[in-house]
Formats: sequence, structure tokens, C-alpha cells
Amino acid sequence: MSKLKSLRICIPGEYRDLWLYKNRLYIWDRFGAMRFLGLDSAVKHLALNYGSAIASLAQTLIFRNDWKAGEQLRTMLRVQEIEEAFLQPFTTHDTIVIELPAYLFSASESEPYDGCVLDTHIYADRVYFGTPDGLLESYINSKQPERPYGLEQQIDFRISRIAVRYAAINASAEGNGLHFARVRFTSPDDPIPGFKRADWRKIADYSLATSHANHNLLNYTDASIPSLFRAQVEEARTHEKARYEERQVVGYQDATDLSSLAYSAVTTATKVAASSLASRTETTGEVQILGNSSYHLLATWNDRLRVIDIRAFKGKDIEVRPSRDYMKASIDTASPDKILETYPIKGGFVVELFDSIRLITREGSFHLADGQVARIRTFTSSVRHKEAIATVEENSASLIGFYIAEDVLF
Amino acid sequence: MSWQARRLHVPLQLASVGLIDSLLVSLAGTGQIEHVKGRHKVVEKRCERIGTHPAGILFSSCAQTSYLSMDVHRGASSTKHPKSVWAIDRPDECHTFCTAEAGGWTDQLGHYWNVAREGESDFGTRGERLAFFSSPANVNDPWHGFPVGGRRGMKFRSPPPDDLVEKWYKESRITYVTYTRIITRRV
Repeated sequence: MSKLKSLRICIPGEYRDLWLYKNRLYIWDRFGAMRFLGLDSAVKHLALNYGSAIASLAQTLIFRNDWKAGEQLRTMLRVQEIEEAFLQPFTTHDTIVIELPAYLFSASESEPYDGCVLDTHIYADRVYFGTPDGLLESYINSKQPERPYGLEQQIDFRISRIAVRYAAINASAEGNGLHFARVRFTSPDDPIPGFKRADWRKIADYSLATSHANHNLLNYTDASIPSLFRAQVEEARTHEKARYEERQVVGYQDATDLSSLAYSAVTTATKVAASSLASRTETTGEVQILGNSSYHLLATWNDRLRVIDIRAFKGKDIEVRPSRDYMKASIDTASPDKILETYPIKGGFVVELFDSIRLITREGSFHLADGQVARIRTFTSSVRHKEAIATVEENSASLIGFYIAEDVLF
Repeated sequence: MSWQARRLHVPLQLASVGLIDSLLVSLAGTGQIEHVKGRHKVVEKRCERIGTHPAGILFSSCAQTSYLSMDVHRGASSTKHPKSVWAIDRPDECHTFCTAEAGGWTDQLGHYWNVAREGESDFGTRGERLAFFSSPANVNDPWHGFPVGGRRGMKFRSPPPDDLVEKWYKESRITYVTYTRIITRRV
């Protein structure tokens, strides 16, 4: 049986949002002022105040998930004595809560947005805010984070959710639709490196939320199953001095209705391809997709949770099938009716309930934290923080890392 | 107020500090607010059942407004379209209307809204923590209402307007967590 151990770094204060990006923690207060802290400084503070064992856990479980996923560390941790030493701080409790004081953070003079922020995303040094006033964009200078930047308006109507990846900005605007634009990169030598007005295109008439499934895009609406936009991808350089080409999304094909495929995949145990499906399989009960973690879709059917995988490779048929990764253990949590939202992490989902947070991985379903949260952030597109979870509470913000201890050694 | 306009103003939070007390004083003048507990206004439960109606039970609200607790929102209905169902009893349903009326929690179309506070049970049987009271088309008709939620996937999804949610937050009706959850459509 697997056991979850979690480390929570609490930052006292009233905050609106936080983000891990390029070896720094950025945090916004409720008036929109941004502050930042280098993660090396954070680790140093934790080592001085809580000891090197806790600092090492913080580094591995939150700040450097690439180390946690690395084959070297995983091999070492298979040695029981090494794992016991690594997890020594968890000897008496499965949850450790430590504090990172707010005075460690430095202020940025960038222009604040003092209204309500519905969603935030940082991509390629650009900061995007989805707000009731529209989509706003600012900039972070990774080399000089204290350097101030203005706030510019990309879209002037309510943007509730943003998904930015593969050089594509996707913005959900509820009744105003789903909007897509390519990120307009500028040369690092540009005096105003951040802001270039994007060329926006409306790709759907209605969108409550949007999320990437690999390069493709899922559009969540009032329907119980999202539609899929297959991405058109090109290899391109982000600017003239870039050394490598990157895979960039340059557009999307028309939306595909996934209802029939999702119903079939949830209710059968086999792979279903779009071309082989004549009509929706007759089922009892409604299937609903609660959210996705890349191509893994968390579905509910007859009050049970299931994970189905969707594949839509270039030039191939769309396929949906029950996820093999999530078949070994029970992933049921509370009643699916009680789930407020789901968030992707590498290898699983963070599930927000009314007064607690749970984690669903291929090892099972785990209680992660108690309490109600204003916001949950995850960082699947980062290299270092793919399993880190950031939360905003009433009077604090937190970073949470976890470790799933397995009884089986090999 | 737009974001650009707000650039010229003091932050909303600071501006609202003195506002709450004066707002409570002005509402107290209507006779609907019996006492103020801390920063929360408390409306005494004064809904009175005044009779039956073919569609439900009639009440007179704290402000003597006619309110109809409808049978179709009291259990699985036989109507063509399924309805949301109250999880609280009928007098509490009317009191939920009273509180919205006393708070002046209307949208631009004159409909009233209410929100369950921290610690209060859900308004609806499907976890709805918001209530919507439809403004009657005819002034002589009674008001009626039903539980709603703003969350994606909810059967009876109907999010309240942003400015009303902000008003609840400024009046300390709801915490920052609830404010953010409603405005980001998770409740």
C-alpha cells in the first residue's frame, strides 16, 4: 500500500496568486503588487532555520522535481536505508508544515492590476492576467526581476481562463468565445521586449475553460464533455537569435465532438477510434469530464471516477481508451458532485474539494491538505516544478510537495 | 469602474473600509436589520407563512414582500425540465430571500441573489451555495427563488454578476476564499 508524505511551505500574508518560474517564486498581493524570491535563497533560509534534511526535501519535492523524477535519485531511494534517511523528517508525521517569512521577498515596481484576477499565466517571460477587464499582459525580466514593466491590454472583455504553451495563447471568455493567438516574440535586444499586440482569432463561440492535451486543445463548455481542437504545429524559432527551433502551435483545425468517443471509452475496456464509431454507445448514467492532465481525462460515470486517454496524432484518427496508467489502484475520492475543480500535475491530478485537496496518481487517491483555498496553481509546463502545487488561502500562500512511499521495493 | 480608471483611484479594499459601516447604518434605517454582529449584518428571521398557493406556500418576507416557496423546487418534480431543489426548509428559504432583500443584492435586471456563508449548509441538494430570486414580471405576483451554482458541470449553472460578488466581499458577507471561488466559477 502506498503512503503519501507532504511538505508544505507556508508564506503568511494575504495574497492573490503565486507562480514558480525560472528559479524564482513570484507572489502577488491582493492589490496586485508583485514580489519575488530566488529559490536558492529560499532553500538557504530553510536550511538555516529547519536543517538540511528539510531543506533537501523542499528542494526535491517542490523546487527541483526534475531531480525527484531523475533515474539517479529514484535508484538511490530504492535502497531502504537511503530512503529512510531522505524521509527522516517524516518519522513522526506524514505532513510537515514550515514557514517562509514574507520579508525575504523583494518588491517589483511593475504596474499592478488592482482588480480581481481570474487566472494568471507566465510564459516566455510574459505575464498574462485573465480579468473581468480583459486579458492583460506584463513582462518579467528574468535577469533583473526588479525591473518594472507596464500592463497592456490584449483583449478588452472578461477572460476567465488562460492556457499558454507552445507559443500559443488560448483565452476562454465564456459567452464571448474561445480566442487564440500566437505569442509574438521579440528580440532580447528589443527595448520593450514584452508587449506586442497579438493577432487574435475566435475559434469557438463559447468557452468556460480551456486546457492543453499535448499540443491539442480541449474546450470546456456547459456540455459534459469538452470538444477537441487538433493543433497545427510548425517548427520555428522564437526570435532571430534563437539557437534552436521549437514546436509551435500556429492554428487549430475545427473542433471535434468527443461525446461518443468518451462515452464508449468510459463504458468499455477497449480502445475506440473515431472512424470506427457509428453512434454513441447506449449507457445508463451521464459521463462527465471533470478535467484533464495533458491527454489523461478525469471522467465521472455513475458516481465513480475513471481516467481515459485521448490521442490525436498528426495524420491519424482520434483514439480514446481507458487509461492503463490508472487501472492498478482505486482513484475514487469523494462524490464527484463535491469536486470543485481539477488541476494537472505530472502523472496525476490535484482535486479541489470544498474543504480539502486530494491527489490522484496511478498509485491511488490521497488526502493532500485540509482547508479551503482561494486558488490552486500547478506547473506542468515547467521543467523543475511539474509536481509542485501552489495554493492561496485566506491568510497565507503555500507551496506543497509530496512523496509517495511504496511498500514494494522493486 | 474599469481597470484604467482604477489606476487613478485608491485601491478598492482601502476605499471600502469606511463604506461598510455607513452602509450598515443606512440599511439599519429600513428596520430590516435588527442588529450588527461584528462586521456582519444579521437579519432576524421574521418570515411569516400567510397561506397556500396552487404552486406552493406563500410567505410574507421581513419587508412584507410576498414570497412563494414553490413545490417544484422542493423535490423531484414532474415538470418537463428538472429543477434545482432546496436543501433548507421553507421558512429558511424565505429567510434567504429576506437577507438578499435587506442587503439589496440585486443584479442589473432587478433579480435578487444570495450566498451561503462559511459554516452555513448548502442551499441546494446538489451542493449549490448560491440562491437566485427571480423578479416577478407582474408587481402583484409573489417573488420566488431557487438554488443555483456557478461551477462548470453543475446542473443548474448560473453564476452571479462580478460586481455583486465583490459587494458581498466588501460587506464581509463572504471571505476572500469564497469570493475568489465564486468569481472563478468554482462554487
